[in-house]
Amino acid sequence: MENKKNINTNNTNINNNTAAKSKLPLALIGLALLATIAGGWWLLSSSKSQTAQSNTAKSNASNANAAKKPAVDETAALKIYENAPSGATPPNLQGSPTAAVTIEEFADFQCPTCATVHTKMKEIIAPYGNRIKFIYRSYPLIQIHKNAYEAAVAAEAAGLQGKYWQMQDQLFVNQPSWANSQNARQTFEGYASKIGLDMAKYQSDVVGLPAKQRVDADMRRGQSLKISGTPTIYINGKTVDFSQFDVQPMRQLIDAELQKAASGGGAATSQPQTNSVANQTQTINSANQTAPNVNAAKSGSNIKEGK
Amino acid sequence: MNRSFETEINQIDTTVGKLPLAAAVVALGGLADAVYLTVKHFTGEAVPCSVVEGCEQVLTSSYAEIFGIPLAAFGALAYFTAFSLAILAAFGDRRMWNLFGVQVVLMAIFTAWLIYLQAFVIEAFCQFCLISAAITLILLTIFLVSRFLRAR
Repeated sequence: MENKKNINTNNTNINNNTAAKSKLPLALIGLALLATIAGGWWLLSSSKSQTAQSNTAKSNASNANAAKKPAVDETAALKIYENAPSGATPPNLQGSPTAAVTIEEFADFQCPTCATVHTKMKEIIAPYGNRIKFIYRSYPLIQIHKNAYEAAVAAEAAGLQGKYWQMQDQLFVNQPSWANSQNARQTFEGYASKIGLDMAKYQSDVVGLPAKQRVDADMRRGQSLKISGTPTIYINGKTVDFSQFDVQPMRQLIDAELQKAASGGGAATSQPQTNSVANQTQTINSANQTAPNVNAAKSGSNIKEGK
Repeated sequence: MNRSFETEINQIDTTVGKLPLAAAVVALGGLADAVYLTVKHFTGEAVPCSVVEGCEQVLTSSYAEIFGIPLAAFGALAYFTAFSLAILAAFGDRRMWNLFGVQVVLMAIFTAWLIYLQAFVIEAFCQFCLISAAITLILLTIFLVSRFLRAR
């Protein structure tokens, strides 16, 4: 009787052990799932603050590195920048063509990161008005983005009617709806109509040479500068380290350049005037502007050297 | 049975038994890599590119998404499935190890295609994609080793 009781107890223990053992892998899988969700959430929520912190740290590190690097590298990089083909002339430009600080962006309309940067760039440059010169250049990565070139041409065709920036905005904001479209041209016509273009002229310009030649000129400039990806941003001829790209770090770089220009006798002031600045942003279209002033102020320790 | 032969058989069994556990640990590495890339895709932040050049070019290419879903998200799902199958196999479910094998073979084929795209179509490499490729290769190797040992 006693033995039978022991056997029953042992059986119960074995069953309990087996049950526990069969639950362990499921528990581990559940744990991994929870850890994945928690990790992803943590990355997502902390990415913004981390970016801001690392930008500051990188900015400081970049300052230190810039101080250590021989000046000859910087001079050589600037020389390459200055000697590169001028790109579309006159360029698509916002701000003042005579401003001491030039921000030049090479971007691809079909690149998702460029669309994100587009939104942030508007926020970055808004306070500066005519104290800066912002040049946007098309650099379609035609090997991987099938609609990028046509989008750039569509923007230039709109520019021929003085509405480059409106079209640029439409293309970036609506990027997901045309990026993989088989008939992007029709979608672009919709945007052209939406921003009030003369459709007959647009349809003629979009297949004509002048718009394409402007895109090709920008591409030649980008190729000459050996741009390895989009977006690539220059401030006064020096490449901005893209890992530093955000509103505040960019404004710090611009402010530093403005300060240098001011202390060197330039017309720019040192701090952005954040009031009523949106109204100051001047949209200058391709019909009546001069070539980009690539010989503007050359100094600025916060900026990484050109590639 | 010869004593030393029996010992060798036992050693092989022990090694084969540990391989699914090792695969599960490796799959967790792949899962972390894929989750990181997925999050970066959605936040639109730049991915550090310290070893190779062209991360942005790869991660913003038209091949980086399928039906609007980042490829990295599919990778995360695949690694999580691989981890789950390996864990179940480690606790004695042989069928799961066979399923794991089928999955890693498919993952390896897909990885080979992605490497081809980076090398010959996009002409740029992304280091986190290469890490993922290496992890898939390790998973495939672990599975093949387990098969080889069992065949002996």
